[in-house]
Amino acid sequence: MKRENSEGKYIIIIGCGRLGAYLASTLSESKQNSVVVIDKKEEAFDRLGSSYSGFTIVADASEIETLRNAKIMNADVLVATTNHDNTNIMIAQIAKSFFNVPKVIARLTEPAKEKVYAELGIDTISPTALSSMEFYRIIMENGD
Amino acid sequence: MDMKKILVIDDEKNIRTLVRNCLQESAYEVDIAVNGEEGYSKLKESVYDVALIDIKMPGISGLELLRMLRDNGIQIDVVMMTAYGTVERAVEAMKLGAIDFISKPFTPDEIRRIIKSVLDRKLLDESTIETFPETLEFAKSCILSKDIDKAVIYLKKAMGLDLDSPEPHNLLGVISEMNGDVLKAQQHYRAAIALDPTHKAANNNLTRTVIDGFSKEDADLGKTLTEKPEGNKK
Repeated sequence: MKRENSEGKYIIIIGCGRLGAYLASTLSESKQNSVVVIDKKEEAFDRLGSSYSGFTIVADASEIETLRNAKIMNADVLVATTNHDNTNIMIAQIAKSFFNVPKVIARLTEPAKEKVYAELGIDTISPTALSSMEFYRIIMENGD
Repeated sequence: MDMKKILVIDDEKNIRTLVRNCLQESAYEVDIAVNGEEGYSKLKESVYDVALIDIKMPGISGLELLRMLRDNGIQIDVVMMTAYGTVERAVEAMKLGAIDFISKPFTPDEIRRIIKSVLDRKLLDESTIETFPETLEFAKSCILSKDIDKAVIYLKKAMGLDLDSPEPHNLLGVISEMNGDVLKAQQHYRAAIALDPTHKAANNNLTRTVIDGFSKEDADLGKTLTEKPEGNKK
């Protein structure tokens, strides 16, 4: 099976919380992209704006069959945004090692776990670390 | 050249938006319908080149809509959109003159490609067919016009033109199933799998006919990827 390599990207987002939903809506604005969001709860998709143009799948993404149904073998990017670090690690690892998804990004609430991801070749975004850095910057700027 | 008109019938707004976005960029005129009823009345009132129909809709389902259209003599070309991880009821659909399936989630490229192949198929001229894709597409158009014997001839020709392609074998299998010859169908599916062990449609068809017990309703036409049913999920 070949990956589609035209202008647009095939993006799978795991978890439709505030972060996942916002990201999905933003990415689907580009008409070339194809976005698939997976969440266990159907209500979660209410967070997607009315302009969202992509797919939604109600299923448990920690099951490999769910990822297959989402056609992970065609994916250019997978983003794991659930609020469980370990779930994100596991899914990211499956995507990276088993399905060879070229770009895998995981959300990380505990910055200390970053090492684990780094060893697996998975990019991480830690909202905790990002916001604390921003806080730090503002505090130091307006220091006196 | 005039713009080809396409009608998208799906109950999900995000899918309608997605399909419309990708097809409008390819210079097709796109109209939408939110359910089977609206789709039916639109197809009855005006002429479209292709209808994209979601198979799973509340109220009138995709297959019911297809049957309504055929019963009323509306012979439009259709592409059926199937949901995640469902098995297509392809034999039934094939009898109703639908052979093209696209399984969600799909990429903009996939949707454009399938629309193009459906439109291009209409332009094929039997006397000038040479290549493997042309032969295969012509065989499909024979199936659609219910000329099964001719379809078989062209599928066998296609096999000769590309010995490595599993697709003609899979389609022959579905035709055998349609004729009620399950053993023959299984032979075709096995041949398809021998050529390409990852051929999803043939694998599904073989599993269904051998292990799950025979049910003619669910044959998988291939063409696009189709996944196994999520049968054993909680």
